[in-house]
Amino acid sequence: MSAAQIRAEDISVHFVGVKAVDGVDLTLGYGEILGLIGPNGAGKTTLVNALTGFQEPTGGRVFLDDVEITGWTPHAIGRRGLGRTFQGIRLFRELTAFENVELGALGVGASRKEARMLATELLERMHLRDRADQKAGSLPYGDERRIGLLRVLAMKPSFLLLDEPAAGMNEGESDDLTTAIGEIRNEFGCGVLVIEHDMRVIMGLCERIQVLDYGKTISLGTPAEVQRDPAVITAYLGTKRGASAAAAPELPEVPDAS
Amino acid sequence: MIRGSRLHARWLLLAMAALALMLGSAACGGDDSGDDAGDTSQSTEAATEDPIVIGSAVALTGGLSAFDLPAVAGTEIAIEEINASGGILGRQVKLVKADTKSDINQGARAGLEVLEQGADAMIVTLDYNFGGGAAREAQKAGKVVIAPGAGSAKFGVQGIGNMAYTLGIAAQTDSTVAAEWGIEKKGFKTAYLLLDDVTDYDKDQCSSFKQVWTELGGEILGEDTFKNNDTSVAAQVTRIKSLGQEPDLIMLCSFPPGGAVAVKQLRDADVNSAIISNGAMDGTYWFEDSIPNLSGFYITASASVWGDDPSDRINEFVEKVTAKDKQPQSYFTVLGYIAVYTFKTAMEQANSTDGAAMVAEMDTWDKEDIGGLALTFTPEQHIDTAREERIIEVNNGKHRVVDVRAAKKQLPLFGS
Amino acid sequence: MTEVLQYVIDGAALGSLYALFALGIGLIFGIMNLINFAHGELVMVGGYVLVFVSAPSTIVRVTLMIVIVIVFALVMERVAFRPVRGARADTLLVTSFAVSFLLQSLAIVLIGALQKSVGILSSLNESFTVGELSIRKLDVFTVAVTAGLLAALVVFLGRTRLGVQMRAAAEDFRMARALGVRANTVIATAFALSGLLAAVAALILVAQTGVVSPTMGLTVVLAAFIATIVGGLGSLTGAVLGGYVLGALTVALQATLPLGYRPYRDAFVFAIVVLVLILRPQGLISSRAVVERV
Repeated sequence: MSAAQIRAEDISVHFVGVKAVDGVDLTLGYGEILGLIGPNGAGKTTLVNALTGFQEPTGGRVFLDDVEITGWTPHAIGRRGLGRTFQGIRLFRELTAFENVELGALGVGASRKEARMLATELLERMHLRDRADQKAGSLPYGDERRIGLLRVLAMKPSFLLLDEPAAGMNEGESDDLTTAIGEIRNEFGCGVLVIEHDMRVIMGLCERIQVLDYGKTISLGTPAEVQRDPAVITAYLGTKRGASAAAAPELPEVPDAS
Repeated sequence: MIRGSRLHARWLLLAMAALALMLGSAACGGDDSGDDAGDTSQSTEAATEDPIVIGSAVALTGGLSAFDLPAVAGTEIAIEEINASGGILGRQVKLVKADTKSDINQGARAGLEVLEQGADAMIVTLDYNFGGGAAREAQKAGKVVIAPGAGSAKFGVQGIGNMAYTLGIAAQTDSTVAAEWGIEKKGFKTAYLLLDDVTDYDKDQCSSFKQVWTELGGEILGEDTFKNNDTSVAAQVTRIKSLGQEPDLIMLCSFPPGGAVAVKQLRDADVNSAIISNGAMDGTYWFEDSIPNLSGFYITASASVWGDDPSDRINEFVEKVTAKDKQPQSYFTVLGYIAVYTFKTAMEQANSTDGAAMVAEMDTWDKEDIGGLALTFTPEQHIDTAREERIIEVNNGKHRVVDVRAAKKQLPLFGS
Repeated sequence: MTEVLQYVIDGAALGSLYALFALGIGLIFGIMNLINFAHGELVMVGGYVLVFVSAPSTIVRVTLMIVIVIVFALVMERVAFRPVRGARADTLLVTSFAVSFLLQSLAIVLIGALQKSVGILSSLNESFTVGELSIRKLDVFTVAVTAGLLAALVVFLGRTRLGVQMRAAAEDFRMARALGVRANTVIATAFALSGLLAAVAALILVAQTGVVSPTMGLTVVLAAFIATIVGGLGSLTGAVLGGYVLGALTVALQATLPLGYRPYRDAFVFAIVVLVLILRPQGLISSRAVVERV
């Protein structure tokens, strides 16, 4: 494994009375696609929040290319090359599609001119040029998704953390997305971490899969290995998605201070 | 959307509550009508060597301190003078102060505080509502209490009790003097009323002026209202300019800062009518930089602090204040001074510091010369309606007394 | 007809001033969900700077005032609001209320409760006539400066890096931070802008009224608050619109109400405001940002 990577050691995030994440290790190398799965409330989003500075971990350390980034602010981590999306697309609806993409580039310190060029280029590549001046709030759903991805890509991230990118998509759309994520990895060479409930996306995309349950890693391996792991079958794959969602409600997002 | 608007409503409520709090702390609260009589029994006659204590329960801080502090300055000078010339009844005079913080609810507390320090007589904030709390405590304790400038007849027998006197002028008297001066002395025929309807005083003043002015044959061209915190009276000015004829006199029933804004915007819009207002608009501070050569502006006042009062005694006092501190900005300084001499005269006439004995003397005063001002009280009326008021003109930014006159017509002070 | 036009001018001038007040409040609310009650005190500070700073030229005096008010706004953000950033809406509200009260009290203690008079831009207080209309130069100045500031703000928000980032942050602060937007920079810029708006408002207000008092901020905040609510919390266009609606409404009611009802002018204004809010709970221009973030 190369030295250039995200390496999280023994991460814990404890809320009052709840161990949302409890001693999880995670590594993600350049060019690798890692799936992070688990029942609702397993701590997936909280773990990503801890990696990206949105949630100060109660314990543990995060390294990016051997530089410790634990406790850094979100924008500093973003500038360092760690781009993320949130559940739902959350485009800036009052901004144009172009401005949404441009923002990503501006955020990592590109000049206004560079940002405009990059945004133009990215939009063209995704055949979204004619959507550029449309308000993001008025875009069709599929385009919204694509703009959401472009926005993070404009940060030229070394690592991409995607939180349920296929939520609400039909089969055709999620297949397109799977292809797009694969292409992005190939073209930009970045490491990708995907949180996803849609097993077709996960199985079709990921080289490795890490499974969380009750804040702990219960399995880590290739898709085939994970699929065979009895612990995973009991905790996650064995139950219906709807049932597990009802049994373990997602933890609320905690508002970020400063 | 539903979630949004419900939370939105919660937001609004919160913000409005905060705003209400802010406004509440700035506006005048209501007054509780206290018990009227009160026992006048115990007056502990102190040993002669003990000083006579005058208690000042006024706003030393907060918004009202703008009016109370100048009065306190006058009070302090009066006490110095009296102590230098042998005191009252052979005893020295001592001043004790308690701060109401301009809070209507702190009045009673401040009153009790100075009473506990042995006050033989009390001076309170110069307003019926804000001074009333402390005044009622003095009334209960049987001590004479004076509000130097309260302009309501309620600050007396009717509203507080028989121990309470005000040295202020009733709105009815003020406006009668203004109307009679305008018609008789200036020969004005038309007037316009501009009412800042925040205080009862200003409402009474405009309505009384209207009555007297029309009774004397004058014409009211129109009237309008504004609020003291309005940042613009442009619409009111437009109404005046649309009259087709500029009124001879504008009766401005207001006080700063709203009154100052109105005068500035009238003059800026080239409305050149004479403007008359009341003692609350005394002073140069509100126009000296914004309308440096203000002209044709008049006020009615109990005394002039501009060096030309008809009473030499008052002019001397003003010189003393100016030398010691700075040019006083309103005649409230004079009233704070006269309040102490009122106590002195009453105590000497009664040969006692007993409240009831002092009241007995004061209620017989008919143009009694107190520190340069002639005071008249009766057992029913503890506000002076016979006072010779000064009409002070501001011409090119300078104050000058242009007339001295008492109200000829006596309007009823209650229930109009 | 002349009279009606005259009232329209009165309404436009008053509306411009209210719009300036409201923009300052609206800008901060959009970014950090805070109704800054202390905004009025920024205007007060501007007023007092004009009282106490005398400079050979008006331009120097005004520039100095603007700079001081902006610095004041930045200090206010750093000292009072940064520590509670991200806290619940009521915490923020109470904090701004406390700052407002503190500054008012401080002004009374340090300067005194008595208001001061100020002469500034006195040459603009003259009027000129167009036909039968008499128009005050200051009114033209007020409308022009407000329009100019608005245009500058639109360009800033639309065309500059910070402007685009600020609009993004106003909509979704968390997402904006993930995209590398610096929270401190964006919020400080918003406060600096609100300081600039407060300073310009102070200049116009003082030129118009000629007085400065410790409690003058109250009037400012009251007008701004109502204007932003009517216009739609969180929307800058709404804030401006709300300001003009409030100004026009006030003048129209003052001009048309019969004398006996005129003392209740503000009550009528509030009644209409409540009516607007019943029909459109989100204000005239609803903002997604509020729905999402509150």
